Amino acid sequence: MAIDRSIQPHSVQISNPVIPHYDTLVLNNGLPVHTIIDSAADAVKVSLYFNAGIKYNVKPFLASTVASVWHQGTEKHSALAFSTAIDAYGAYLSVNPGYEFIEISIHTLGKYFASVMDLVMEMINFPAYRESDISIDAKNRKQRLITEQKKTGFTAMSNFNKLSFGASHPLGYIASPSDAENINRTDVLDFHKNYLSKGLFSALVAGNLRPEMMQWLETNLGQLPMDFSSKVEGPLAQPETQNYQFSYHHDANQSSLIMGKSLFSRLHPDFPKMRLLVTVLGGYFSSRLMANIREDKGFTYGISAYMNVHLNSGQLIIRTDVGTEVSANAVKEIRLELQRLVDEEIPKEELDLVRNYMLGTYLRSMDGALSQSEIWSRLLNYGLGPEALLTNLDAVRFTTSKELQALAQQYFQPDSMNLVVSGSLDIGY
Amino acid sequence: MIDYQKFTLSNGLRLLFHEDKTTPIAAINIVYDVGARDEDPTKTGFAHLFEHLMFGGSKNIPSYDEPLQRVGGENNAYTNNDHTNYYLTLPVENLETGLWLESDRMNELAFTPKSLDVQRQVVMEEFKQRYLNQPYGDTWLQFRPLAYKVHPYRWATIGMELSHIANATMDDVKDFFYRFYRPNNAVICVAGNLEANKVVDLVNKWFGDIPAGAIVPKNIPMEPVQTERRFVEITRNVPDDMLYMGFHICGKNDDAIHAWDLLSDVLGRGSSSRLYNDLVKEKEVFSQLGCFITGDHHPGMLVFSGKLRPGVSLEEAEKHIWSHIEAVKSNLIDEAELSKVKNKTESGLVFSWMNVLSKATGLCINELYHDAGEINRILGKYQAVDGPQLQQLTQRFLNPHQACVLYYRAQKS
Repeated sequence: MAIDRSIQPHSVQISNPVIPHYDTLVLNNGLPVHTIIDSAADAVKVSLYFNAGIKYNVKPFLASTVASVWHQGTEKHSALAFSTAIDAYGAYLSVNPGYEFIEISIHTLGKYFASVMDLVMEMINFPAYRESDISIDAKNRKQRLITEQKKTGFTAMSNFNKLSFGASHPLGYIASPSDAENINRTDVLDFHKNYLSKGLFSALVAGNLRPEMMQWLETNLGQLPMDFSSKVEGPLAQPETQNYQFSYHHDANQSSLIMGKSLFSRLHPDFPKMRLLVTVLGGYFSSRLMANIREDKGFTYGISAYMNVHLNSGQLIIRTDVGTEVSANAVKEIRLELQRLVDEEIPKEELDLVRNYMLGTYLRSMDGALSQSEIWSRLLNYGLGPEALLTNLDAVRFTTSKELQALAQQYFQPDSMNLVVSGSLDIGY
Repeated sequence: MIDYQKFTLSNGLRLLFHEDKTTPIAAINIVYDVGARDEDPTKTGFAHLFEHLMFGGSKNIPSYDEPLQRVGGENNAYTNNDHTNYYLTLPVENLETGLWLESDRMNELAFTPKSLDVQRQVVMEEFKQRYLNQPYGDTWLQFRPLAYKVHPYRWATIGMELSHIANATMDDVKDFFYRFYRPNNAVICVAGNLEANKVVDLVNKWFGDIPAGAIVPKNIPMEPVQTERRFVEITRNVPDDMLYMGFHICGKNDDAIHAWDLLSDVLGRGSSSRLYNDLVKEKEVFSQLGCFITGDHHPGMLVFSGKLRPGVSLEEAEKHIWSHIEAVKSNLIDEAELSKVKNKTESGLVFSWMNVLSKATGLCINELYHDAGEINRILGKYQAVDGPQLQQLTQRFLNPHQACVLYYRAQKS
């Protein structure tokens, strides 16, 4: 018997998404340790967060340099001896500088937990920051930056950040290669002393966490100083009045386009609903921008819209790389899609699709303890908890087309957008 | 240990099932035994272009993505030289929608001219974005024809040139579909909190009546043994010189592949590796340096790739790489160094298998080239590698007459 392939099988709505469980243990020193237990594999991920991100920079690249050199050895171990010891346990250690925080991230098999974490403690308490390691890091960073500056996508994003945050803001500053070499050991040691040595404020542990591991956390992390006196809000964005910038790349056969604007912070009440609106515009494969600019016109391999939000600032970003000859048309079409959201309500069928897609994305983010820890790190470190997750999910499920149109009228007016273009053709704005 | 069950449908489609009770989502992975190596040399880039067309609607379903997103799903695909892999995840309750979508496009594509017109453009923009409009982006376009003279690995998945993509016709598309996109040329894996008999029933329901194809045995010319050093240099508008050195090794079904993988780790994986410590940190010859294997089905390459520090010559940099190769030939890699890279491999496997989709993909790929059970034997094979084996492989295969060397020179301004 042949089946009728034109009829879609029965499917269910994701009606009541579950909020994943975590526990919070407060150590003797007041450090909150959030735990997500999952015994599926003998593996643990530990994330330690320090109030010491890029917003604390007194010089360009300082936080990034510190993050890069911090795990290059300790007073007892050379850089080679230290990385060999970590690798010998098969562990993965990285130090990731974000805008607000620096994160130490450790992936280890459970059987080596204590050995690996002892090394991490040694790095926290007795870092070396050797002159030679700092100097090599600086030279390599300089070379990487020179290569990046050849990329249209890089110069476009640098210019866009400058327009959004202002040239003196750590995120808006246009770095030059010489900045990389302008960092000396004293800068690094000061940054460590001022921010990292007392800046640990949160830990997130996911995986097969056993009692002796909890004991290790108490004995070790529980002894670290907790002092929030160095915590700062960070500079406010000072957007530039200029709304267009072009950067010339002689041999480019594509243009990198970024359209967007300064936006509110992660804590703003409009944020949860805007996530839905931005997804409709350019947050998934069948979004308005993809459907028009890639799947109808074939101008690009990809186009996306997203928000980049911090504690006291944020951006709306629409970015794509398009063939040089169609770059002006692509801008015209992006503006048209923005205007359409300003002028017309999103049809119910489309909005339902986006709601379900986003709820599905949420379920994917609950696939295992490691994925769940990503969700919580994006909330807990910003002082948000399960209620914020519920608010986000409710916004996905219940925001009306009318509310979204009102948001579009407030935030998506095409004339309110900045445009940056990097490539071989200055299209003007 | 990844438990799985294997079934074969009457049309030859191989089905793998993996139960994972811990996740709210299900994964479906389908791999087709077709890649860039199956292309006509005058129509390269076609397997990848075809992958794009698989999203342009099938006979009964005008849009692939929309119904999937509507039930909370997400998908993607990739093409490499050997195979084309499609994968999706969705809430487990909605599994059947995924099977409906995948089976309809295996059954018959819509073959709409608009889809071909647009995707040709999209892929040409992808070509520009990834290979032409990036510093060093064309490295593999240059390196492949140096390393391979006969085997179709001599061209990249994206194709040899833009014109091959621009010239693709609907007849090419249809021919390719009926030649390669048949159930007996594919492996599907379903993974999630599901029951085996229910999965078998559903897969049979949607895929069971798709006719098998006449799969023509592959007739891929094997690369002759290289007998003398190959060398090419190019000059581009990039900031730094880059060195690329490759050596022919074995294919992924050869047991020596695990030894090669570990050798590349000893030499070039991460900040405790030999090359990084000596040539990036100690001697400051390179600003970035790595060593990796390509992991192809047919004999692939071990590759050294590094960006030079300003003021260092490519000739000098190459000598330094040779001195590390010689060191492996003359001194046995000791147990501690070997166990370091083995442990790293072990934890890499454990962490990657904490994700339901990566298990489904891993099972399919192993089944395609070996059998699915290989996924549970890999770690043991890595652990069985010893120092003398690495030494012998290096002595036998990493010699000057076996080297393919690319000097990627920065234009002097």
